[in-house]
Amino acid sequence: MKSELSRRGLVVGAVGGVAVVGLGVSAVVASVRSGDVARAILHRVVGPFRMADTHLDAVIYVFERREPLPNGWKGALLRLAEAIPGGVAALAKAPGPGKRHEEIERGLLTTFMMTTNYLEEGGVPAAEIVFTGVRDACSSPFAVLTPP
Amino acid sequence: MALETDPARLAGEHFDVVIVGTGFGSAFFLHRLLRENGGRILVLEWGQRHDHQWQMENEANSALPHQDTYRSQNPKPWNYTIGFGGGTNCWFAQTPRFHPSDFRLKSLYGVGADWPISYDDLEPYYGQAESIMSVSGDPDMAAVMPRSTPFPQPAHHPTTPDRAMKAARPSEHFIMPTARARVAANGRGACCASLRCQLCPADAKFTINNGMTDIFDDPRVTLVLGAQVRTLEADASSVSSAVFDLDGKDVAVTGDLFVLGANAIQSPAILKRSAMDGPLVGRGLHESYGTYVEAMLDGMDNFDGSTITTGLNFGLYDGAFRSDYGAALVYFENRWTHGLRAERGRHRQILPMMIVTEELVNDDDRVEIDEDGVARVHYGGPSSYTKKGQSEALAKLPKLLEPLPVEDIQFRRERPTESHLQGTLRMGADPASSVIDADMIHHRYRNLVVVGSSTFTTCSCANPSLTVAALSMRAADRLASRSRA
Ligand SMILES: Cc1cc2nc3c(=O)[nH]c(=O)nc-3n(C[C@H](O)[C@H](O)[C@H](O)COP(=O)(O)OP(=O)(O)OC[C@H]3O[C@@H](n4cnc5c(N)ncnc54)[C@H](O)[C@@H]3O)c2cc1C
Ligand code: SF4
Repeated sequence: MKSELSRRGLVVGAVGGVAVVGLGVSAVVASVRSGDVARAILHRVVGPFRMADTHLDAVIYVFERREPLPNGWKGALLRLAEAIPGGVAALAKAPGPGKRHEEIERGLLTTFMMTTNYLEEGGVPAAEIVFTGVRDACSSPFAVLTPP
Repeated sequence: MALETDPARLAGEHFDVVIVGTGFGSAFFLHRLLRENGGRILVLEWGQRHDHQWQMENEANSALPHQDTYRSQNPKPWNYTIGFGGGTNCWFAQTPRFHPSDFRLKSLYGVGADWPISYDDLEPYYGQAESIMSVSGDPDMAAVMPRSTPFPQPAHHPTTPDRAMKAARPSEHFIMPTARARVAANGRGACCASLRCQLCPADAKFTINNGMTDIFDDPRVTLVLGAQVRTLEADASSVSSAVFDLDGKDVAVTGDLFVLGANAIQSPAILKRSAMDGPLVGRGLHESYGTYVEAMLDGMDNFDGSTITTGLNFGLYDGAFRSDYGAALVYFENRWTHGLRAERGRHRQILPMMIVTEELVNDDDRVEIDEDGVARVHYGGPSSYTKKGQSEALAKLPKLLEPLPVEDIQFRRERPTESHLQGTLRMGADPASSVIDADMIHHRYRNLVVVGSSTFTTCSCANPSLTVAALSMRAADRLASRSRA
């Protein structure tokens, strides 16, 4: 089942102490254009996953609020690297763009892991991944908090 | 809390003790002072009181931006909070003690200076400050920093890399001591790895707001918020009054004892505005120097600890090399400062670290005041001593990390600041090379006690605030025994 991301889900957030950054639908839509390269990066570094476009757009929007994806020739370089075989490895060797590319892929991956149910679903490719919002308190999904 | 807001009711009043500031230095001094009679105590705080809810809603520690309270010709930021509780609001609550050798740098290694007190002199007060802040820590640390009392709270849950390091190097690698509660206590929630400690959503770190307001509720204490101390008035050997701005009006109060606990930029600025200058007032502004480094791990996951920083490694800390370059402290992070690892299935196989090196105090780095009385920082940049400390630490890191399956170590970047302004009213035995004595009393103005990180003689790698708190408790204790005598 492909779940739809409701406006309420975007603006109010999910349950359990998860606060969603105030997202406007128009802002989400505007970010979609730069979203293709982000999708390519995420599928490459995460592995296969199933997620409705609207949910993935929300992840990308959260990422871009902090760190907009490059446009112009830098954006073109990024798209090219993701599109051609060996492109990412070649880009990684270029000191400036390579560093920026690494920052983008790590930032996107981190945003994806922190704002979706991917980790809860245990990385099973068939699972439906949904955007769950930006968690404020107790935000590390890896922390072991068992009392001493 | 006895809050006084009316300038007219304060003007001309006399107090037994007048305290400037409500941060670490001032609050811990007041805490100990109240165990004695203390008399009538006035506390003057420039900022307002912003409770936890206000800070979370406003995403800020204070309504008064600290950047507007000093000027500098150098882009390096000097971070602090102007507000009730001072740096307890913005701090990350990392609470290592100083290393015993830090107090004897000159006699051991021929550089810097010796403190006029030793680790042993301060040890009981470290324990008292840890108790007030419910510090969580690793009992094994006593191997490096001997202790007479146990940590009040159990250690945080270490990460897998911390456990491997600790097993292989038990006398060097410890679980981070911290005032981020391991277990909920004294109205504070347990730290749950929210990883944004400057504004902790769980209110888990110690702050004056969540752990010490009772001292300001004491009937002997009058607190004035929004009171910027402009000057102290003094004759040749003692201070007689404090002049502060309240609601745009200059108010003067007299006192018997004055305690100066504005921060390491504002405290010397007050003395300079007061013409209580001396050759060393404001000189020696310093802090430790930090960098970000990452180790790529092969098959070992990180980030399973229970707080933001879980490990502290002393393997590069002490030795004869300190004659030549700075000691280094390596912080093992339980947060992904540079993001998760962008390799399929290996997202947590990474160890972010901070390397922090000690700095030598340079008198040219200093606080002056502009014509309008605003503090101005003159800072020339990190020394070759601390930079060499960094490069040597990086070179020694592969050996240090041998217990871990390290594939690669990558230097990330310099940290712009450690947010640890220190050393502008230094403590020492000799008035020719210091401003205050071993009891933190001004060498010349004998009823003026200086507290806070401005008093540091030298720059340890370790975070300063526990030491600030312990020094204050000791100073108040010494004063009390003097008056009893
Ligand atoms: C982001 C950040 C993270 C930090 N993390 C840590 C950490 O993890 N561990 C650690 O040990 N340290 C940490 N620190 C440093 C710590 O905050 C300082 O070491 C500590 O606050 C110094 O204590 P102090 O008493 O000298 O000054 P402060 O705590 O800053 O207190 C000074 C007080 O004086 C008031 N004041 C200033 N000028 C005047 C005036 N003219 N009149 C009246 N009142 C005045 C201020 O409002 C304040 O209340 C951190 C700092 C920052 C900014
Ligand atoms: S790690 Fe999180 S819960 Fe713990 S003190 Fe920091 S912000 Fe608060």
